[in-house]
Parts: sequence; structure tokens; C-alpha cells
Amino acid sequence: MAARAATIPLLLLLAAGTRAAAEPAVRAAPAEPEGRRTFVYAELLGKGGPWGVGVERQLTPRLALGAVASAAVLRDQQLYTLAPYVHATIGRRGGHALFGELGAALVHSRIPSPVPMWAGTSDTGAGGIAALGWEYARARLGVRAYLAGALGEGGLAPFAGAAIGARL
Amino acid sequence: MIRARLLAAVALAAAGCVSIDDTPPVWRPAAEVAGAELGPPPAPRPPPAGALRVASWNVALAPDPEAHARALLASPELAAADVLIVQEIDAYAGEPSRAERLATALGMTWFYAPERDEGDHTHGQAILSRYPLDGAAAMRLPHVEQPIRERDRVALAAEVVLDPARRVRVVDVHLDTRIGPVDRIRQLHPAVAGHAGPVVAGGDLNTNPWAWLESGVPLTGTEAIVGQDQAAVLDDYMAALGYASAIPPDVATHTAPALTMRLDALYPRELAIGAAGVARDVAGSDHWPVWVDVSLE
Repeated sequence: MAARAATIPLLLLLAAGTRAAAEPAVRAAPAEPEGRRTFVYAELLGKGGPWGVGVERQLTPRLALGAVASAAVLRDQQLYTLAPYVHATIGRRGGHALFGELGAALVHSRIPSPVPMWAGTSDTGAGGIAALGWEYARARLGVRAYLAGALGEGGLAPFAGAAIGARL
Repeated sequence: MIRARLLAAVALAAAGCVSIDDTPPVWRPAAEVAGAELGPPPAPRPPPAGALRVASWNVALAPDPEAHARALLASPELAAADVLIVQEIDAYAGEPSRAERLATALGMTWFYAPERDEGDHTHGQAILSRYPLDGAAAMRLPHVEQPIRERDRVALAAEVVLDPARRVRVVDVHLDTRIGPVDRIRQLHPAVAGHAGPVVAGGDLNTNPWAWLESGVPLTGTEAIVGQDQAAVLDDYMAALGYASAIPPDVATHTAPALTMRLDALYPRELAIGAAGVARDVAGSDHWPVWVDVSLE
């Protein structure tokens, strides 16, 4: 079930790429203000772990490259993440857009010991992420929410994320 | 009351306050623990030949203890258990506790101590044994304050007297659910550290795989990438204290079909592990019982 959910964004992403190549540029006109190709944002519960900051650079009207990173301490557990990804706009109407994302993720977790007899432990893992989400853009502001699947050393799991940012 | 709790939860959430009580806990003898019960010694029997079988089961309130006993006795692995530690079992005022009913149906003695008071009943844990129990004691574990459904937690301990010369200490713990690995070890440590001689510690350690944001949101995506399951982390910590893990960390003990979570575990120390397993033929709870044979040779 989760595996099927994770493949849907992949198919939509491929479809978006195909459509982008086939359509005249004028029909795929972006909603973003002319010249503002960089999206800088803060994210909650997303590709970057509990919270993160990301930057995205638009390459074509439908495709962008981005990365999000975070460093967080949750009840002494230290989590560091880096997630580069490809962002594709699948469809747009007014300020609303449907998007898909495919990317990789690197996570380092350090669990310090709260007791003297144990040294603590740490682990680093890598995996892939696929997401399908909704974006609302107005002037420079952009808000996103998405459902995603992560596949890595701990198996396959669903998660959700949200982001808010500005186009520069 | 509900409004006050809601306000407290909102205040805690707003402040980002998951915190843990650092007061060092102590073992209190059964006679000093309010609501505790200690059953009569069981009928005399010879010590087990070669190995002692210890099992653990979160019985999910055990609404019908006799049905739970029938399920246990129908399982080849569990019917042979010499000691059974249980979690989440209730005791209602004015009637025999469910620990007593379960123990009686299994031909065992018991030690019950409450985890918390629920008004018309207490909710707690028990150690059941075919052999006499000595030195029964309970410990209130470090309390983890959480924005949602925080709980008091306890550990029980007793010595199983196999014969005048041989005793095995058994420790029964039930830990919080929505906490991360550091707080889980803080909560567990007082219950498993400082014992002398052979010990089998275990219970429902609630070792779900995830790190938690404010004890409310599991970071499922992060765990999928890094694969740092809390069960494996606790095995590593217990190994540092001399305990061996009887149940591998990637074996499910919770019945949820879509998740592989080893919530329950048994850790012998100074005792060789013979065999061990998860009894998936025993129904009646959202947990399966786990068991281990420890060598007495």
C-alpha cells in the first residue's frame, strides 16, 4: 500500500516532465513573478526532518532543483538531515499548483548517553523520498503542503510536510 | 477538571515541555506499596530441569483472565512457562484482582503492584511464578511529562526461589510510548541497573522505531532513512550493562499488521539463553507474548 503510494508521485513527475517537453512555452507560463527564480523556505515535518530550511532554483517553467537541510535536537537526540530533490509542477490554476518531488536524503542521528555505563550511539543512513503536494503562491509568498514516502535503511514509511517561503 | 487538564496540555505544548523527573527512584518492598498484592506460595515442586522459562505479555487489561489463561495453556511455548511477567492488568476494588485470577488459573503465585489509580480500579503490572517469590518490590520510574496522555510508570522485581541455593531475580517494566531513546533509557535505567546475580529483565518497553517531536508526532520519514530503531538502541544499552537480548530488534511483538515493532523484550544477565521466541498463537491482546529459556546449569 505504502509502496504504491510512493510510486504515484514518480509517475506524475514523469508525466509532468513529458508534458513540459511537448507543450509550447507560452502555455506553460509560470505563475511566479518574472525573474524571481529562487524560492527560500522554512519547512516543518518534511524532507528535512522535524524542521528545516530549504532553497530551490527554478530551471524551467515546470522544473526546479532544491535542497533542504536541518539540525535539530529532540530530547537530546541530535538529528542532521540533507535532502536534495527535483521539484516538478504538474498543474497550475491561478495561485494554486499541484507538484511532485523526487529526491535523496541523508540523515545522521546521534543518541548521547544519559547514563555513565553506556557510551551512546550514532548512525547515518541514506535513502530516497517521493512527494505529492499542493502549493499556493501569491506575490512573493509560497505555501506548500505535501504527502510523501521515504525509503531507506529503516524500510518504507509515509510522512507529511509543510513549508512556507518567499520567492527572491 | 477536563478543562484544567486541557489548559495544562496546551501550556506544555506551547512551552515545548517534554521533561523528565530526575529524582532518583528507589525500590520499595511490596508491604510499603499502596495497592500491592502478594499471593500465597505455590504448591511445592522440584526445580526445573536444565532451564527456566520466563515469559512476558502485555495482557491489554485482561478483561477475562481465565480466557487469557486458557490461551496461554493452549500454546506449547507458553504452557511451559515457569515465570510470567505481565503488563497492563487491572485490579478492581471488592473483587479478586485480575492478576490473582490469572495466576490462580495458571497454578502460580503472584505479585501485583499498581502503576496508577483509575478511580474504581488500579492499573498495573504483575509477576506470576510457579516457584515462591521473595523480596518483592516496586519502583516508581522517572516520570516523563508530556503534552498528551502522560502516565506514571512502575517496575516490579522479585526473586524466584527455585531451591534454597538458587534464585533468579526477575524485573518487570512498562515504559512510556511516545518518548525518544534518550528518555526511554533514563526511564529504564533505575530498574535494570544495580542488581546482583542472575537477572531476567523485560516487559513492555514500548520501543517503537521513531524519534518523537514533543511526544506527539513520530518522525516516520527520518526513521525510514536512518533505520535507527529504538529496540536496537536499547539492546545496545542493555548489552553495556551485561544483559543479552533474547528477542531480535526486527521481530514484531505488536499485532499491528502494517508495522514491525518489537515493543516487548526479555534480557537475561549472567544466564545463558537456550531458546527464545514470540508466541503468535496466543490471542487476546494487541501484543504477542515473548519467552526465553535461561540455562540453570
